[in-house]
Amino acid sequence: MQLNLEHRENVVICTVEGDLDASNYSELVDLASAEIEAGRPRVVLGLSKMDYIDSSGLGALVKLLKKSRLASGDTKLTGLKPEVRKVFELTHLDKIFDIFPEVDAAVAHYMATKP
Amino acid sequence: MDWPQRFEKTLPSDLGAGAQARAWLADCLACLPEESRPVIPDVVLAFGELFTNCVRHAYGPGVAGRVEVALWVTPEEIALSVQDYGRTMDTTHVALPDLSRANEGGYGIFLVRTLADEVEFEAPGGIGNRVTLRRRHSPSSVFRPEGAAGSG
Repeated sequence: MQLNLEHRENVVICTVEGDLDASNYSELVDLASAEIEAGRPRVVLGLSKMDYIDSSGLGALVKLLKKSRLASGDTKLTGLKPEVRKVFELTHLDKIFDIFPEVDAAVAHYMATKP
Repeated sequence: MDWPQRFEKTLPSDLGAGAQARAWLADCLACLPEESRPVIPDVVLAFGELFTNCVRHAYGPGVAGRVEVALWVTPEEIALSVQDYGRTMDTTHVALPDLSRANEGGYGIFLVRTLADEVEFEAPGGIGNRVTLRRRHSPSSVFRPEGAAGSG
């Protein structure tokens, strides 16, 4: 898995490439948590290049969701591939997360609301 | 192609071996006819969860062990068996997550049960865990009432 971090205005954009699984989910949690704890709780996860997610990966995203919302932000997901979206649908997490087709749409949604 | 197709692999109890093992499984399942291949991601995900359970719960952190995988593919069904020799834990009695809430854990066995048609747990000889899942994949395995066109 490869992670890439970018800032746009006060939004943190983290892209995930490859598989998010039990062996590496903590890397994503550590990276995004540090941003939230540094006062940047508006997180967008770019997942258009994420090929696979397991229950540990789901748990990591839920952890970030709770942490960011507790800090008056959010964790929004973007670009889910069909196989990945299916996992969110099976677990009903598609009803819990804000999911957008693209990163730009998620950032625009943040921009339209006050920090 | 001769049926059933059989495949076996022994893996170390190491989460880092998961990605390669999933790739191996997907390669094996490429023997399926094209119309059945949409089930491959489901079986690979279910396998990933079972493998993680072996490493994380049956053996535990830092404990060396082996995980044996056996795969049978017939024209109608995929059967996948994942066996470890760690601490026995009957996953058939694990509580399922409350899907109306966001949970940080508990989705693993839920996904296995959801993605498989049948899940069987055994502890052969009282040692370790063997979970066998079955997933039908062929349109010919879909139930048709007697006398319906194409039955028989």
